[in-house]
Amino acid sequence: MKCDFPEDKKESIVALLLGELSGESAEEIRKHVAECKECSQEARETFEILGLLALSSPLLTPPPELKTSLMKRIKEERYARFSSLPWQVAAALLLVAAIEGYYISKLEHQLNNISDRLAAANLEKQSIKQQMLKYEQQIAAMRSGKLIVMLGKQVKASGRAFWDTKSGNWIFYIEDLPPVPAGKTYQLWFIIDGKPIGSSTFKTDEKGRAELEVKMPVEIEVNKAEKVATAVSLEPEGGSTQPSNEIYLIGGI
Amino acid sequence: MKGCAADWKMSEQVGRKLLHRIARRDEAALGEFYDRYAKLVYSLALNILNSPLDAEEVTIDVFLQIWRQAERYDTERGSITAWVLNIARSRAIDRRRALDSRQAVSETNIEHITRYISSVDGDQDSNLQVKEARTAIETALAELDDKQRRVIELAYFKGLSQSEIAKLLGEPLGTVKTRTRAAMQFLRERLKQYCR
Repeated sequence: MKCDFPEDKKESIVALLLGELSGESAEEIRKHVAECKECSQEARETFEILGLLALSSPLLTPPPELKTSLMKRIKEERYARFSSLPWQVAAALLLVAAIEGYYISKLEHQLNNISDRLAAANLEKQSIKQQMLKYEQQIAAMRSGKLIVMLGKQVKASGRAFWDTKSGNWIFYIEDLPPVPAGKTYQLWFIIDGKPIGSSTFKTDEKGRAELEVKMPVEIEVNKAEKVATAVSLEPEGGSTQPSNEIYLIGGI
Repeated sequence: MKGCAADWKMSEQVGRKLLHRIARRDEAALGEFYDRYAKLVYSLALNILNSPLDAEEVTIDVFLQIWRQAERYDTERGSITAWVLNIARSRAIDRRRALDSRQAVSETNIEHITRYISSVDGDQDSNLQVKEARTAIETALAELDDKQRRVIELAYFKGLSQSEIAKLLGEPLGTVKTRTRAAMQFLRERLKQYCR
């Protein structure tokens, strides 16, 4: 809603913040600012500017003993309330204050621990959310795409490849591949019309599993899907341009 | 500049945590809070009062007020830096008015003048966020036209009311009010990354 507060009153917002207004005129501006989004923003920003204006003063260091004086005043003020009491009562209250201080500090420590755990839980929640999003995308890809089941050659490994025909992405889930020997790597292949085209190299985890998301190096129309096959071979580190004879997985649509 | 404004806000979060601890009567937190803001408070008080002795007393008063009223800080109203510096200005202006009425400004002694001169540190150890914010406000002030800058200086550093400014400059009160608001709008626009 557009603010209809008169301009001359709006001009008084800065005067209010500078402490110039009092009584009814101050109350009128204060009340309006509390209710009006536009003027409340103006007041808040003007308040910040007034703080920033202070920074245009030449910067000077107060004498070091000023802090000592301040801390002394604080202590005096803190314990002044006990000085007029009989010493037994004052001692008891000081003891209570000390115990209170101890428990406050303990509670603060616990509060900090809870805050840290909350931050960690939020991070985990974020990561789970991302994972869920990824799975949802993959499920959508499976529904609208093509599936290739890959079977092991000489080994018990298996794999599934989903082709999301809308985005052109391929997602591979591979299982039970043997550990990769030193200096070697697994490599993914697309075989189109019998011609192999090299794709990503990868390593498996300790259980022989891998999850990959890749784009096919060449575009192919969906109606020619039956001409596509995929394979995994063992290659020298860095990958090869042609697959070796060590084909571990292969499958077609 | 944007990165700096982000650092400025990050620094605000640290100040906020300290203020929570102060509200729970943590003296060490007040000490840390003093270390962060004392230089700004003292510099502003000295600029307004021109007397190191009075500036020191105002600085002590400001931090005592913060010690007693930390729980009154309202995040909705503005940043901690603005809150602290607006308290400092208000305290310094009150003192200036009291001194003016007693005509006691000349009581500044030689020892304090010497201390004042030796305490000018030319930003050598101020933190980067403050340096950047200082540059930003100084640049924005320099871009105001002379008349706008004058009304801001008279209101902010001299503590003159808008009526007093109008009288001093021989201008209608309405003109002074409009000029002050226009100057503030310009500064808000120029320094918006520090305001929102």
